Amino acid sequence: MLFNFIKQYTHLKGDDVLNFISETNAINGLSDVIVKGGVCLYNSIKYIYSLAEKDFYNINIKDTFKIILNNITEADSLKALGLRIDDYTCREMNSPEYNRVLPLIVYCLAVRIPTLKNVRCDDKCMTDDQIFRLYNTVIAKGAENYKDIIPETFLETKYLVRKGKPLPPFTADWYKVFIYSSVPSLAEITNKNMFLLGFADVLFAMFYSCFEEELHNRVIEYAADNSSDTDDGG
Amino acid sequence: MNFKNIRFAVRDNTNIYKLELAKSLLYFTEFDFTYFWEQCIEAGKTARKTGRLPQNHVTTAKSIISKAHPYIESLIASDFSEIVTDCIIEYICMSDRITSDELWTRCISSKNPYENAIFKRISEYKANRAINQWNNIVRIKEYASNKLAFIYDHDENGSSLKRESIRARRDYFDLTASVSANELRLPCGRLPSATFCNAASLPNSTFVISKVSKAVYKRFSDVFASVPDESLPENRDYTYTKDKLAMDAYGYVKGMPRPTDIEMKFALEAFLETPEEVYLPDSFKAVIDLEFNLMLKEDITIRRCKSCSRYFAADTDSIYCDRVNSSGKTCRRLHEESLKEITPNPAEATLSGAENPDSAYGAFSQAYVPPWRLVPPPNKGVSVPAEMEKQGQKLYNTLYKRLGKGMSENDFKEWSQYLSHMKRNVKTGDATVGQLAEFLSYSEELAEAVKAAGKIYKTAENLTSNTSQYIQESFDDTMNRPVASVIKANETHEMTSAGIDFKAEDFTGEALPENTAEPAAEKIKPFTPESFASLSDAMLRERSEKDAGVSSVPVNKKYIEIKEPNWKRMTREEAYAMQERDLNADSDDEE
Repeated sequence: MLFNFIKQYTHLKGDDVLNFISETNAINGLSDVIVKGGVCLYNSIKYIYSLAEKDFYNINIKDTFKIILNNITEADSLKALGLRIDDYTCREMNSPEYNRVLPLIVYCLAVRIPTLKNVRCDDKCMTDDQIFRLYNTVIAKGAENYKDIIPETFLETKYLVRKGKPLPPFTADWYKVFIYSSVPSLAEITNKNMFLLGFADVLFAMFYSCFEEELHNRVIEYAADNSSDTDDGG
Repeated sequence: MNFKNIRFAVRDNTNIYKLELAKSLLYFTEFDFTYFWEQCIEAGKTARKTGRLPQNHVTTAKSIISKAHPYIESLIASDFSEIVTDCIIEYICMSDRITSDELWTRCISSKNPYENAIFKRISEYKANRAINQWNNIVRIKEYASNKLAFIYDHDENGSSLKRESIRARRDYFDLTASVSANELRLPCGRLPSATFCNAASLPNSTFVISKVSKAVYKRFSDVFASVPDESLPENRDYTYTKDKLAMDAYGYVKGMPRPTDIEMKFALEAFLETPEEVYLPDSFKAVIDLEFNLMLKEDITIRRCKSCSRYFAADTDSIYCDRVNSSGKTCRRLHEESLKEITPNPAEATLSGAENPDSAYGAFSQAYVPPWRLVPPPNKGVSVPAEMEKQGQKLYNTLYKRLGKGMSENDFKEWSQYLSHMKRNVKTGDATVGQLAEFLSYSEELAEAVKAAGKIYKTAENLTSNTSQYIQESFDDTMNRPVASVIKANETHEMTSAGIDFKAEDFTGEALPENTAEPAAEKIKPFTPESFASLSDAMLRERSEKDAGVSSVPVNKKYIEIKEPNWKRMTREEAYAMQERDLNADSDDEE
């Protein structure tokens, strides 16, 4: 009761706190974006990997990047290029170990949630409480740091953001480490696997850049809904 | 002429198709794609509004284009299935002046099925799984027309072509294309080609002759049961391992004895249903080249008709085709009739037995040079001036916008066809630039009339209930009347606006007020190109215009009275002497 009262009081009085019309909806919506983004990155890796099967000289990888980065929550548009992720084209990825990659990807996006503190809408930003709730929601949806492969943590990111220090670059290093240590079929030296390790570096970096922008836009959208509602309501 | 038929098969299809040599090629080179294009544009416009392609337009357009060539028909469900989308993509890229790449980027985040269809199609181009087939058809048509002209157009002297020279021309044309491909460093081994085999050797023969295939499978089922799965990736290069693959397959059935007589009889019946020879072209260009090659092999000669300038497959030495033209007669028939008109009465002619032709005009022409042969040939075609092209396009757009609002679809189609024929005739020399100008000025008046009719429709909605009823009735009438009547109604409406009383019958065009400037029927007169009763009339007319110094673009026509020619037979020497005199006179004039 007291917590709710204080929170309500803070919302009314706090000039620099970003309010949402429905905080639960906003946090659910943002967590969905993060999870969908993770799924998209996971599927994109598979689609591009399948390209090496028989379309290496038919499909320009730049086109695949354009499609992925134009809609970072949906990778199925890559089907238009004739790419398919099935048991044959991605046979090396058909292992329970590799399936751990999806929760890992979502986790590596989740630990960067504190960067939302930098998103400002009318000089207001999300509170630590809101950010922590968002992180917990994403973790509850299945994100997991399997075998502590990802060295970054939520608290570290939060600390760096608070201090205004730059974050380490978003790379595919942990992904490669995981493959070498846990997925032998992909660790083998083959044309396809070398291609995978090569494009993963570029894809992770470019994807995160677009993903971050998309997530920031969503936060502003949720906040804008609130402000427009306030204006209408007088 | 009886055309020889060949059979061909295409990939991803178990049917075998017929191709009429020369006929299908000539038909394709002359095929008018205007209606197909219009259907596609209409489909695109509707899709932009509704978000999806209208299936009725797509089906109509596909049925139109499949008639252009048997190869298109054979692949209309696979390679050419997205031809309408291809055409729309081409149109958007042309009208917005963007590349297909830019259009693709626009449609990545597609908002409706229409944009998604465009995105998917361009993605197929990008992944080398398809090409813009509409663009391809247009380019292939140009290729076929150019090749036809290169090989079969007669020399300046008009001498008939020998088989060797046709072959040399064809080879030269093909070699030039090969040299170009080589210089571009294209993989020449992968360029279009057609293979020849029997139906049982087709890549999909197992499914083409399925009855016998089943019987064979039954016979060797024990052997096939133990065969390992040797499926190989399709994208691998098998150029050097083809024999190995074939022999590996044959290895399992090499000990096969001949089947029983009953089985053989059953197989015979099935094989007789399939053609003995089947061609397997791998692309549209390959079919076109195949036709050219087989036409030469079968000694089918193509000539350009001296009357209509269109190509035709000639079975005799005639230089006139058997196409029925606007007069309702074939060019050959017209030519024969014109010959009869200028030929003296055989009873009066004192031809010796050797000179007297039996039936063929070819023999006749060798013995006797009629005066019309000395008349210079008709003018060569000229290209349509750019401003006229522009004017024509402008008129097209103006009238197209007013479809259904002052001009019916059929009228518009008729008009647009007339315009395109007129332009073609100018290019081939069958019509003059003046005649085209005359038609365009007539079309300008027509466009004005159509605009006026459209205005009536708009204003009628705004008038009071009584008046609008009258006007609406009149408009309905107007839409069913010729353009001239539309003008009348328009003028009457203008007077109404100016405060002049009118009656209901005014709108019927029966009773016009006295102060009407001029009868509308005189304002617009239907366009009628010049016509001549015979070839001699046309020649005389042209000559008399030249003598009188009249320009080729008639402004005010003065019809010259031409007397019936009084032909006298002259000897060959006289004829040549006359020709020389004319030539000398011309050279004197030039000096």
